[in-house]
Amino acid sequence: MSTSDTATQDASKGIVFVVDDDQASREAVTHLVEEMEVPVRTFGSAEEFLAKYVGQRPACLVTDIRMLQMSGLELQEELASRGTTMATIVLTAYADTSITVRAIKNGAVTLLEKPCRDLELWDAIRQALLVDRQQYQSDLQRIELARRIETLTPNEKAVLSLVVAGEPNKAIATKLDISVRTVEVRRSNIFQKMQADSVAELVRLAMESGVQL
Amino acid sequence: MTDRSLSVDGVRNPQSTAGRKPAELKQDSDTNTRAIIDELREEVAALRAQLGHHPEAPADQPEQESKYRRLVEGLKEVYFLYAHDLDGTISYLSPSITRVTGHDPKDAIGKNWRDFSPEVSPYRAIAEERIAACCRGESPPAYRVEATHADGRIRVLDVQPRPVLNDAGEVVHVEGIGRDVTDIVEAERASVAERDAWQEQLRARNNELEYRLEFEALLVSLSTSFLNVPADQLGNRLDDSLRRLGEFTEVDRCFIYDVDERKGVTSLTHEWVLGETPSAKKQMQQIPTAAFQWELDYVRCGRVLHVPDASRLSPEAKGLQKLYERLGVKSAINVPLIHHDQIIGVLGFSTVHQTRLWTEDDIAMLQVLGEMLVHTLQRHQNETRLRDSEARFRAVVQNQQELIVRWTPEGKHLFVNEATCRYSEKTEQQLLNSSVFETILPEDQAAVRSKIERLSTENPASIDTHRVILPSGEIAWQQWTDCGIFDDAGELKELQSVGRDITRLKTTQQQLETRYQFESLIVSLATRFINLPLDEVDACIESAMGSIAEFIKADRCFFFQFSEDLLLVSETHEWCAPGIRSAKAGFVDIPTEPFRWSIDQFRKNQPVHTPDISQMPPEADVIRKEFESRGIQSVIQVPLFSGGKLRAMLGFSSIEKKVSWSEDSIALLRVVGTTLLNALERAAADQALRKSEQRLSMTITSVGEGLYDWHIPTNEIYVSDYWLEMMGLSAGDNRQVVDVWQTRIHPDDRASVERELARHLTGETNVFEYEYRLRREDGTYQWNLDRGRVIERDVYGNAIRMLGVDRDISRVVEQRQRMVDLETQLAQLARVSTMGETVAAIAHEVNQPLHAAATFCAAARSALAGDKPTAQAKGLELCEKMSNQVSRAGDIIRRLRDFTRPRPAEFVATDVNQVIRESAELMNYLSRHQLVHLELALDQEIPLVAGDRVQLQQVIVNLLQNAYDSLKEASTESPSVTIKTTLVAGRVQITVADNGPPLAAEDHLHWFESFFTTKPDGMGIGLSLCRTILSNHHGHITAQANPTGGATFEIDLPPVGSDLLGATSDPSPLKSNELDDSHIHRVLGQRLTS
Repeated sequence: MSTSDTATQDASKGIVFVVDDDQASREAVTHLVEEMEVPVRTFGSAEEFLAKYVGQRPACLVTDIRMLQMSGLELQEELASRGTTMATIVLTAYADTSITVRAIKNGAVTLLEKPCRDLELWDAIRQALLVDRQQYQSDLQRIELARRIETLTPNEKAVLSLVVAGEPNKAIATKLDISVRTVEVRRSNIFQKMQADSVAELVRLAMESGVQL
Repeated sequence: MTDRSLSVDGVRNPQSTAGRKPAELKQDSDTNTRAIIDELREEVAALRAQLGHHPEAPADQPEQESKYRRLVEGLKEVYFLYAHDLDGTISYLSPSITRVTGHDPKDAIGKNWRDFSPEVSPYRAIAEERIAACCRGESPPAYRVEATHADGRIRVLDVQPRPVLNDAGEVVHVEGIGRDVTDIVEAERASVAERDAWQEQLRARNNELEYRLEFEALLVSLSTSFLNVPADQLGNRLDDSLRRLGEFTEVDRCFIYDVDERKGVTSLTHEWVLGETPSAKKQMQQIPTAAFQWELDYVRCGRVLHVPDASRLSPEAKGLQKLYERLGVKSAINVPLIHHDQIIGVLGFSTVHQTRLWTEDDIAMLQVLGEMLVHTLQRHQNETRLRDSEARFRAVVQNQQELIVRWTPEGKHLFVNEATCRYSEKTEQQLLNSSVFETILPEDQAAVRSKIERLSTENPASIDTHRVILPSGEIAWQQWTDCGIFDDAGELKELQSVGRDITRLKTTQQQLETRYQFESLIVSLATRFINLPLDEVDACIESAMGSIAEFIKADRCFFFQFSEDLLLVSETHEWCAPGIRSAKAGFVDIPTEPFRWSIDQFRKNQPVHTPDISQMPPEADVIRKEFESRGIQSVIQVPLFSGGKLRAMLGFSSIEKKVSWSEDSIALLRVVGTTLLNALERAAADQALRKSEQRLSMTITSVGEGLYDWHIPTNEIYVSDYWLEMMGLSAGDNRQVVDVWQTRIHPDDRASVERELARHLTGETNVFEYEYRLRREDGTYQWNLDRGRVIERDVYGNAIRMLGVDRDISRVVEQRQRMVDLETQLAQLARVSTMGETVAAIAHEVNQPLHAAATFCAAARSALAGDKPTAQAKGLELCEKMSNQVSRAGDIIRRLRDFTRPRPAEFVATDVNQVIRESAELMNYLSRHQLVHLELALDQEIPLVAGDRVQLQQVIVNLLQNAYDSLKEASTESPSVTIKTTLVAGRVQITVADNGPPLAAEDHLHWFESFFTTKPDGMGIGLSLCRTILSNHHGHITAQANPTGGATFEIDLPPVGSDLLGATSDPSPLKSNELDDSHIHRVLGQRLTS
C-alpha cells in the first residue's frame, strides 16, 4: 500500500483519502492530489480505510463504487452510521440512475463517471476540500456549543428550552412550578455558561448546537 | 685369499658375510702385520731419538725422507708412512705414496687426508672412529680407508695409526703406516661372489630335487587313487587328479583330450582351470582330428609336444596356433596317451598368464603320468566294453526266436533248433524225419527250388520269402536266409538257414496298402466335388458310390437321407453292379418306424455292420426280412451326421459273399459318407444362396440405392441400375470399369477420397464412409455418401473385392449447411447476449485504466503548468504511466473483440488448459466481485484437442457464468467453483463444479435446450450452445446435481489424432439429460423464424 502521508504539513488544507481497488487508479489520484500540495492517503479497500481512519478533518474521501468486498456506497453508509461526515467524491465506471441516487442520498458531494474529463476530478477534490473545511468549522462550533450546553444543570436546561421556545419568565415559572425569582437566577447562569449576551444570541447558539433540548 | 693380507678388525665387508670363518684368516695376517709395524715403529722411534727432532719440524725433511725411503723401499708390498695433525691435515707423506695413490707427497702435505678419500665409503665411519681414539691417546687397531688415485680409481688402504705425544704427554700428532690392499679386497670380493653363485646353484638343485620328489609323491598318490576305481567314479577321479596336477604344476589349465583317430574326432573330456581362466570344454567337442594332423603325427611316437612359448610355435602346428590364439595360451605341454601304438588321447597343461618352461625331468614325469592314465582309461574302457558285450550276448540268447535249420538240397532236415520245433509244433525227431518242402505252400515250392539252384560258391547266400502251411491249417509267411555249404568240387552239400515268421508283417503291409489305396480313392472322390456345377452333383455322387462299392467289393451302394424329424426316409442316390436290381423307386418318403432298430443304432453313431444277415438280432427282424427279400447276404451301413444331427446313411450290400469289413474300412466309409453328405449339403446351400442372391439383387435394384461391387485387381465394377440412373446413365449397362466412378469425383474432393479409400483398403479403417461430390452426366454435382467395405482379401491382406452403396445426400448436405449457418448466427447471438448481461462489469474493467490514464493526464498537466524545476521529469513520468494504462485498456478491448466477433470455427490443436486459464481471466471480474473462489485443478499431462479456441472458451465462460449466477442468486456461503481437467479413457475430461444451491430435479432435463432458462434476465441460449459447440468437436456435455448442492458439468473431448469417425460411430451411451440434436435444431428453428 503506497501511502503518502503528509497530513501533518498543513492541517488547515485538509487531507484526501483515496479508496480504490485498482492500483493504477490509486496511483494516478495520488499524483494529482500531490500536485495540489495536499496530503493524500490511499487504501485498497473500504475495510482498510475504516480500520485506519481516526477522524482526521477536514478531509475528502475519493472512493470507487465497485470494489472487492465492501462497495463505495456501503462505505458511505458505514461512515454515516458511525457519525462521521466527510466530503465524499464517488467514482464509478458504469453509472446508472439507481446508483447515482443512492450515492447522493448518502451525502456524496460529487459523483464522477470514470474516466473523468479534463480537470473534473481536480476541481471536485478542491471543491470537496473547501466544503469540508467549512463543514468542519461549523462542526467545530456546534461541538463547542454542545459542550457548553452540557455544562448546564437539568433545571437550567429545562429553563433554556422554554426560553428558546420564547416563553416569558412568568410563564416559565408557572410551567415549571417554581418562583419567578428562581427562573431569573437560572437564566442568569445560562447566559453566563452559554456566553450569550442576549436572548436572541442564546436562541441562535442553542439552535446551532443542534442539541435537542 | 692371501695369508699376508692386512686385515682390519671390525670392518665388515658387506659382500663377505655368510659361510666363512674370517677369524682364522685374520689371525694370520694380523700377526704378520703387527710384526712389520712394530718393527717399523721401533725404527722410527730410534730415528726420532737420534735426531732429537720434533716430527713437525720440516727443516731436515730430506734427511728424514731418505731414511724412511730406505725403510719402505725394500718391502714387497707398497707401504707408505704418514703423519697428520689432530684435524687430519697431512704433515708428512713418504714418497712411496706416489706408487699407491699416484699423488706427489709435496702436493698432499698441508691438505687434509679426507680430501683424498671419497666421503661415501663403507670404511669411513670406522676410520674416523679409530682416528678419534688415536687423538685421545689410545692405540687403536688398524683401519681401512678408501683413497682416490690420481687417475680417479678408488684404492683401498689399510692404515695403522699411532698417537704422537709431546713432552707433556698430550697428543699432538697422529702418525702411521699405510698399505695398498685394493688387490686383496678385490680378490676377496670375487671369491665371495663365486661362493654365493655356487650356493645359489646348490639351492636351485635342491629345490629341483624337492620339486621332483613332491611331483613323484603326487604321481604315486594319483596312481594309487586310480587303482580299483569303480567305473562310475573314474570321471570324478580324473577331474580331481587334473586339479591336483594343475595346482601342483602351477599352470592355468590342465586337460585331457580323447582322440578317436578311427572316427577322426577329438573331444575335450576332462578339464581343470585355475580361477577365472575360461574353460574350453564347450567349444572343444567333436573337433576333426584333421585340424591337428601335424601335432598328432608329432606325438604319435610318444614324443611330448612342448610349447614353451606359444608365439614361437612351429609354423606347421596350425591347429594349435589357432587354438592357442583363441584361448590366449602362452605356453603349453602336450603328452600323448598312447595305447598299442594308437593315440587315444592327450594330456596337457597350459598357461595363459606367463610362459612356462618344462624341464626334461618334468617331461619325463609327465610321460609316466600319461602312461598311468592310459592304463587307467584303457582298463576302464575294457571293463565297459566287456559289460556291454555280455549284456548283448545275454539278450541274444534269451530272445532267440530265429528258426535255424540245416538241410540237404533235397529237403531233408539235418538240424533243427528248439525254436523251429516250437514253431512247427513238432518234436525234433519228427522234423528230422520230414522234408522241408512238406510244409511249403505248393504254389511257392518252385520258387524255393530255383533259389537253391541259384546258389553257388561265389554266391553262397540268398534271402527269400515264401508261404507255409501251419499245423493249424492257416497259411503263414516266412522269410529265410540260406547259406549254401559246398564241397571241394563246388557241389552244394547242404544248406544252413535262418528263418522267421513274417506273417504279421506281411498282413500289416497288405492292410496298409489297401488302406492307402482306399484313402487315395477317397481323396480323388473328394476332389471331384470341388467346384462341381450344381447340376452335376447327383451324377458325381452316384459315380463315387460306384467306385467305392467296387473297391470294397459290394454290389450295391445306397445313400438314404432322413427328414428333419427322422420320421421319414428316402433313398436319394444308388449304385448297383450290373445285374443287381435297383430298389430306389421303393424308398421315397417311407416312414422310418419299421426300421426303428437301425435308426437307434445310427443315433448312437453306431454303424450297422452285418457280415451275415442271419446273425441279426431278433428286434431287427423286419429289417432282416427286407434284406432277405432282396437276397442280400451281408450289409454295412454307416450313419452320417451334419451339425450334430443324423442326416443320412450310406450303405453297401452284397448278395454274393459274406463280406466282413475291418474297423478301418468302416472309419473310411464314414469319411466317404461325410464327403458325399457335404457335397450334397453344399449343393443345397449353393442353391439357397443363389436364390437369395437373386432376391437380394432384385431388392437392391428395386430400392433407391446406388450399389457397387468393385473387383479391385481387375478394376471391374458392377453398379446397380439405380446407380446408373443416379448418374444420369442408361440402365442395363451394369458392368463397368472403375473409371466410371473415379472420374466423376469432384476435383476438390479427389485427393481426400483417395486418401480415405487407401486407409480402408490397407485395413486401417473398418468401413469406408465418406461424403464427396460426384458429377452427374449433365455436369451437375450431387453430394454423395459412400459407405463401403472390403469383403474379400487375399492371404496377404490385399483387398480383392469391395461392396458399397452410394447415396445422393445433396439435400441433407444443403440442410446441414443451413443448420450450420443458423448455429453460427445463434452463437453470435449468444455471445452478444453474454456481453449484454455483463457489459456493466466489462465497462468497469475497461474504464479502470482509462480513468487512471485520464487522472495521470490531469496530474501531468498540473505538473507541467507549474514552475518547479522537476516539472518536466514529473510530466514525463506521468505520461509514461498514462500510456501504460491506455495499453491496458486496449488489451481488454481486444480480448472482448475476439470473443464477440462473428467468425468461422477454426479447428486446430488446442491446449484445453490454456483455454480454461484464458476463460478464467475473462471472468476474473465476476469471481472477484462475488468473492467466488475459483480453483483450477488442471492436469498438465492431458493431450491437445482438435478444436476452436474461441468456441471452447465460450463454453467455459458460459459454464462459469452459469455457476456464478447460481452462486449469486443463492448467496451461498464461501462460494467456490472448481474447474478440473483429466484424461479419462483416452479422452480429455473437463468438469466445472460449483457449490451453489441444490437444483430442481426436473430442471436439469431441460438445461441443454435453447431458450430454457431459470434466470430472470437470461436468454437461455448458453447451455444449448455449449452442447452444439461440443458436438461439433465430437465431444459431449452432461450435467448432474451434486449431492451436497450445486451442479457439475462434465465435458469430454477426443484428443487430437483420434479416429473421429470411430468416435461418432460408437457413441457413448446417451445420458438422461442429453437430447438429440434434431430436437435442439427444431426448437431453434421455431424460435428463429417466429
